[in-house]
Amino acid sequence: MNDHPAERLSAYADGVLAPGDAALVAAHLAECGPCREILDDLRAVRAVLRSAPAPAPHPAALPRTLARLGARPRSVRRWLGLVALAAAALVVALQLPLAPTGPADLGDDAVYYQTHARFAVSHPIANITLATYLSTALPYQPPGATAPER
Amino acid sequence: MRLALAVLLVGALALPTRAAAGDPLARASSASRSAAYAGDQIIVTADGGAVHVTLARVEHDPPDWTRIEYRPFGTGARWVVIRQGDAEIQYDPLARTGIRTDRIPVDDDALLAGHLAWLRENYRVTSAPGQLLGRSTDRVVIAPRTPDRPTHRFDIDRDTGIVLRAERRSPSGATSELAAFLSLELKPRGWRRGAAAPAGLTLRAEASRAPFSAQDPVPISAPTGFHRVGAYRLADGALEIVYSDGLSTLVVYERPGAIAQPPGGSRLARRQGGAVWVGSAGLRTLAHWERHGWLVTLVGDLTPDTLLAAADRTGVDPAPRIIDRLLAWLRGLVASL
Repeated sequence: MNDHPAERLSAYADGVLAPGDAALVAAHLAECGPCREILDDLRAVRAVLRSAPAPAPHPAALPRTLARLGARPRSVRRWLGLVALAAAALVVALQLPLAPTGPADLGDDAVYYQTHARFAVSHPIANITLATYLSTALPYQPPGATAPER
Repeated sequence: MRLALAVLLVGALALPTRAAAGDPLARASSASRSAAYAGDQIIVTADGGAVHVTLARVEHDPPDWTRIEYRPFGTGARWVVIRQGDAEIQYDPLARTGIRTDRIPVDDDALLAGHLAWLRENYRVTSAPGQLLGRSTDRVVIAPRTPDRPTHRFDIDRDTGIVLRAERRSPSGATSELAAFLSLELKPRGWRRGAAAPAGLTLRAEASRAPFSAQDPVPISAPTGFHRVGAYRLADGALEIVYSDGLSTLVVYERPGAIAQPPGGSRLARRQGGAVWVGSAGLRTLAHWERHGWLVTLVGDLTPDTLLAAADRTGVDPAPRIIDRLLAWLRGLVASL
């Protein structure tokens, strides 16, 4: 193989070449130092990418995700209502005092923490350096985007 | 005689300024009003095994123009914050949408003096000379006198008061936050004079917040060393009450309601009086409970035990019976149909 298989080295490094093509590339690599160096570089880049932390979701995704989580089909609400009525009747009979066990409101915690961060940024000792890390220590969400409702 | 009185008066007024000039914390607090600069910062938050890294481009022109562009590490999208005067906008530079909000006005000299006094009451402050980015610094370590809040370390530029590096670490050491300049370029004052937000942004206004001076519905027994510094009423009737120990902020939220919905990620802590929900995000901890028909939420850079003790002292209502919870849920269901 005289031509350098530069365009196929990446696919070879990923292990996605057909067996015949992979064998041809491997044979070329056995004789070609420059291509082996390119392959080493490709593998090094992949190793770095694999070791990198997962990218954070886009900040604007949080309110949208929360909105989707909060959506529930009306028919399901009615079905749940019937179940709840039956459960209420049962519990009226039992009158059991229990700790709060309601469903977690996934939006509230972010709002509370971020509001706290905003007040901390306005603290006299907080300058721009502090403001930057306070602003980024939490998932970004424009203040007031999801005011807590109870 | 008048001249002598004038000299005395001017001298007396100047004393606090001269005293503050040698104090690295005071210089850091007022740096944003005097130093003009641009630089790149790295921001790292480590919470257990999770590490998040963000780069930020900071441009500042005193007294009050600041632009910060956040570039999360990896493929996360950028966003931009511009502060000018009493207004702040945050927007996505690609979607060109964001929010406009009023800044919280607390940065005045009288309040600053109070905060620094509280800081020295609640923390041990030590300082040593250092070097960072080729500049002379004061390396200030602020350690809490009670081991329930973070230890801070600041590297403060000796000439300008700019905080070149800031680090906070939880009492256990498992959680830390760091912001450090990778490069810094001092600029002449006025270098961004006339700067404005980009045209064509779609911005919506944040809900209003009005000062509140009446009696708190649920008076809070705040943790040791915290002083009340402000209270606000939100458009939906909720109250935000702000406390400070001179360095750390504690925010109390009080909303009418009888049935607590536990915030996401929180856990139940059973107390003698009832039940309190506790959660955390980085160095911030949250406690949430019911008291006399109000839902109370504390958020601060404190350990869960400290917030639970504050809840105990304030008072926690007995946990509602399940029938109360079901009825409340049914009322919400009917309202939503």
